[in-house]
Amino acid sequence: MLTTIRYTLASLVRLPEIIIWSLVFPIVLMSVFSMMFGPIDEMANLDPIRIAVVEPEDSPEGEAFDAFIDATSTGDERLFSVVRTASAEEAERVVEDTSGDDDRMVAYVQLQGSIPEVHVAGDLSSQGMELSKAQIVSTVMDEYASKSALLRDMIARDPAMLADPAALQSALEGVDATTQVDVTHNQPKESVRYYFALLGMAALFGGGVSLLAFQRMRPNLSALGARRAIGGLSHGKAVIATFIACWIINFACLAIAYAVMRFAIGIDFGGRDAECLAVTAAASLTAMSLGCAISAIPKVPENGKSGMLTGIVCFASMFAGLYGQPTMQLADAIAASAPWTTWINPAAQIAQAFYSVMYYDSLGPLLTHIAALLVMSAVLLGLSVRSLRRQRYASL
Amino acid sequence: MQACKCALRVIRGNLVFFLVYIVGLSFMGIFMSQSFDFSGTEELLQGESVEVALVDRDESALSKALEEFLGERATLVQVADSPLAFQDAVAKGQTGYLLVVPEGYEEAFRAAALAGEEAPQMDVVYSYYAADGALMDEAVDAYLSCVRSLIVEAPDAPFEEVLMRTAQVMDVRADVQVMQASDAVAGPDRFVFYLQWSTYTLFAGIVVCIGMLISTMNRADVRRRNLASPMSYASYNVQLALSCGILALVSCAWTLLLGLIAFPDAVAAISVEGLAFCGLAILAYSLMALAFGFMLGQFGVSALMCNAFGNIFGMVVSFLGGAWVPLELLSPEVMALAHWLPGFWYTDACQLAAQMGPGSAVGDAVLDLGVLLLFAVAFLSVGFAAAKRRLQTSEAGGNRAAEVSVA
Repeated sequence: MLTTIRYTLASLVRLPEIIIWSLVFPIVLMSVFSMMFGPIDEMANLDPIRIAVVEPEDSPEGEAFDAFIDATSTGDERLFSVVRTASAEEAERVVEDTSGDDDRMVAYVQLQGSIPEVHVAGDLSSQGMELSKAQIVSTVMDEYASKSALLRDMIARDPAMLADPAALQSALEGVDATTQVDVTHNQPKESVRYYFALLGMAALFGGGVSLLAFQRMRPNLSALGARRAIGGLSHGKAVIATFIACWIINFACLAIAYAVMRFAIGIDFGGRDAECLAVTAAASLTAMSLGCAISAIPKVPENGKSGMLTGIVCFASMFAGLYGQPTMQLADAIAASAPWTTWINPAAQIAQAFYSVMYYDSLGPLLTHIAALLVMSAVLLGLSVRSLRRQRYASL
Repeated sequence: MQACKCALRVIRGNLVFFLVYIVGLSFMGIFMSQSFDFSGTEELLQGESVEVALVDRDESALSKALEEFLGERATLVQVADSPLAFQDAVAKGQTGYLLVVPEGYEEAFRAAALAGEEAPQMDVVYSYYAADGALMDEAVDAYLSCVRSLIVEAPDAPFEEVLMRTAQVMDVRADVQVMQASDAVAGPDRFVFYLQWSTYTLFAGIVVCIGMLISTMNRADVRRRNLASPMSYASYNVQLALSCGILALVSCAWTLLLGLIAFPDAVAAISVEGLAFCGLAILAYSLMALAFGFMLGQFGVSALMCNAFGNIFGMVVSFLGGAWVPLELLSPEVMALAHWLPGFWYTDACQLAAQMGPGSAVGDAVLDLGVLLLFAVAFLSVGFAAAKRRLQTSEAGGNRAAEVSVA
């Protein structure tokens, strides 16, 4: 049996398709993710937000607002980059003129009485940063409005408070009452989820290895299959040896992809590499079982089976959130409203198993996901048992 | 037209790939576009989409007032007070901002305010979208700043009155208006998202189907039979090109028509010129994918390899083309790299087409289409060069094969 494993490994390694699917595919996409998400993760250094401000009236409220805008739009740490205009019409025109620019103006602000009015451009993209920038403008102006209301309220009750430095300082000074802490093993990053979903997809596409290997075992499909069928090794042992060889090659490729993610891209699992390799091993087992089960479907040509595998993996990966931000949100929404969908989705289980390693202290959630993968694997192997038994292809 | 019919039969034999990539994933694109709230500018600005959890260990008037305040600015979700529940909520993104009010907080806060000391700290946890968490944190600080000011102003006032005044003050907010109705952009937004999604489906689907067809037709025995037949070589190639063109056109028509049927708002909101340019963008992109598939086929790659290359390049082109992650979030270096890939020009053409009004300039959109066609020409050229080289190999039955036979 060891000889069969060795020769199956040797023959599979020589197939470029296997290496491309199992190794090149995840590494290329990880490199792309790394290039793309590096800057997104470091987006704390947001450029100043461009807004237009209508020159306020010459009144105490106007002067206060002017001073506030100056304070927020000057210095190295400035929040806004401001263009001042004489009228609301001009401000609206200035904002509209930047429509289509990469760094467009998201809004203009006008003081009405003592309350700022924020006029947000109506054609902001619902993707990207434009709406977030508009939210920031709105939050800052909310803060100005409430601060100004507070001062008016205090002065109305006791005009002498203006002479009380402690009360005045307290009214004007901000409070920093919160400390950001980590409750998870690592701070959650949206970008990391793509890597996990990608590993899920790459693992499942690895099912192509066992699909190909079991197709090649069939005596009626290749000369090699025919030779193996009449060989001395029992069919059962040949099946087991082929399965083990497929698992070894897929696991090795995934382990290399994991090492790239861990060391080259720098995703830190807090020293839990053994747990991650356990997930990789279980994922690989599920993928091999999937390929085996698809190979067992009768009367479908090899390309058709390969297409079926592609279809299953693409849809499973979509519901694990691989295809960009919108699918990630959709996957979250579906998982929240129908959690059972994630339990039958191997790509989601693989991704969630990696989440569990990354974020939970306890090993409980990880073991649950690994158990789910093993159950899926057992079910898929059970479905293909009949086809994996020795078969008669011709009879008198 | 025997060769064309035969080629179409080969494509039909691998129909599963067309059904998976072009049909199945297009429906998923429709489903996703329909499920997203593109018209939610106002709602997003009100912050209603942010989910916030407050774990109250203090059970005081201040913590309850704070919870009420947060409930007005965001959607409150319940999270149990246990480390596993916290990890679950954060890891699964159930809450964007988790605030823990510790026991005795109200008392400590009042004492600190009266003593002029720094406010006592509460723990907060941000989930995946840190910007949402930071904005909520600002609001919490503003609320507590107001409470502290009112405590300092009237140290003997009942605390309920302080909280009531705080609620009144925090109710005064900036008036946010949207400059034009956002409903008008909802239709095109959905449609453009669907078209951008098809960056992957069209590329992978067409590349896999064409790649498999060309590599099947280039098999040495098939090729020898074809060369020995009375059909001229030019006619054979024209028929093969025709079958590839039919596949690309069917994919293109399916994608466009499905989008138009699913998003009737888009038809109303986009000008006729814009719709025409959307169609042209899909066509140019499909031709580019066709050329890429042709090139792969000429390199003699197998079905599995075609599938792998179609997927890998399809995903790279989609990600770097801005189809799945907005390009404005990327660094200038990645943006520069994106210009060298066809996905960027396709998504740009779709966005420009959706904004096109009657009589508006079309120069930029034409440039995008031109670049896409140049990509197609480049891939075809490489494909032809590879084909010529293959002709001379022994596997393809060319001169080398003759040499092998003679030897």
